[in-house]
Amino acid sequence: MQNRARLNGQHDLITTVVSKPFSIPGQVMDRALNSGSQSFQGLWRGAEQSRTIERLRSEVKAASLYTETMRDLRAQNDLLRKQLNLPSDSEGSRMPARIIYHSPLENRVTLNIGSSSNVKPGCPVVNGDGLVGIVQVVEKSECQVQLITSPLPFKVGAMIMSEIPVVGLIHGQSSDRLVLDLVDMNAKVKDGDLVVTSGIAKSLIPRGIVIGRVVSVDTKEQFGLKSVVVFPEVQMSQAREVFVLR
Amino acid sequence: MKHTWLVLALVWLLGVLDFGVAPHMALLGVRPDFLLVGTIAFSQIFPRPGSAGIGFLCGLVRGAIVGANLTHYVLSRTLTGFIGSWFRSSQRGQSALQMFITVVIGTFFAHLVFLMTAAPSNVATFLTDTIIAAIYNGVIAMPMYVLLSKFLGLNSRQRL
Repeated sequence: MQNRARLNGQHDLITTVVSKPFSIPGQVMDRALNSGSQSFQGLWRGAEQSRTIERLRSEVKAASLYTETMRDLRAQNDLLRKQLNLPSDSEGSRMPARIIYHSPLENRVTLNIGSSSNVKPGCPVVNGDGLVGIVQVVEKSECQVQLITSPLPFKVGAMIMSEIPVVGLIHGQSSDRLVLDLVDMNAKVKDGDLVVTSGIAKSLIPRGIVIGRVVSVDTKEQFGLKSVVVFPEVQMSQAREVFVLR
Repeated sequence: MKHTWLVLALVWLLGVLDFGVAPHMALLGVRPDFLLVGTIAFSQIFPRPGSAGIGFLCGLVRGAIVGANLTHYVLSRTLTGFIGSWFRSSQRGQSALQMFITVVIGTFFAHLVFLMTAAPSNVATFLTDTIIAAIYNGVIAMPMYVLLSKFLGLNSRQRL
């Protein structure tokens, strides 16, 4: 029953009923502790924090300029695609969210937004560093995200940005290790190559979201396989604020 | 059990602490498992059926909070409650240090059952986390057990 519900992008009835009396007061407590610790930090690190605020203000200005340029370029790109009768590849809107629960053993996080914010199963979740995971289960005011570090059968379409880009499916192996299996034995991949989403798998994930960097390549000639080990750009344990791409 | 409502209220409190407070108490990437500590602490107070029932409830709550497969959590916590109650040292009350040791062993046992029913992707990391979690849970168990005993109105020689 639980697996069937999850495949439909929902929690089963028992999980929903049991978790509610804990998640609501738990969130209140979490918020109170967050603001308490921030106020406490403010007492000791006031000067440093005001410098940080100044730096962030200037970064926001630079980012808004960059976003404006990106929007213009995207509009131009959409127009040209339309003229060539190609479908639009725009990634839609970004919905900010906060991680309210992280279960490292289950490779899963819970976000504070859900179907009321138009979040759907399969939506990618990102932060400033790259892809965090994929929304798996959606409720009215929260959703659960399967992290990119999840092991098989969870897979995401990925592309290595080497001289000649190579595509494959990536899956997690541990909290700091992802594996991309390639069938092409002659693919030229080297350490440090950037790995991004391919956008060609049957999902809502757009192309070009950063996943990580290649740290080693393991060739298994007898099986005709090349395994590429990737270090994820997102540090899952430190991620707090994220965006859901809708 | 005559303390049913009190136990339910305490399990609720442990669940809320697990959801809202435990993430802020992470140490070396491992957070305390209040519900597991509660299961083991209760198992040192209540008889076997009651302890298994509390373990079942704590497993159900933990699984629902995590959003994971409920079976693994329910099974590991129910067994931990039952076995913990079975093997409690004697009819005499426990000291805080004995409680620390009991919770360390209990956490190892619960994680072992969990490992056998739902093998994690990286067993080495899981075992490292288990060692840290066992010690962390043990430290938390000492004041929790003292508080539980006071809440339930027990002296050091009473058991339910």
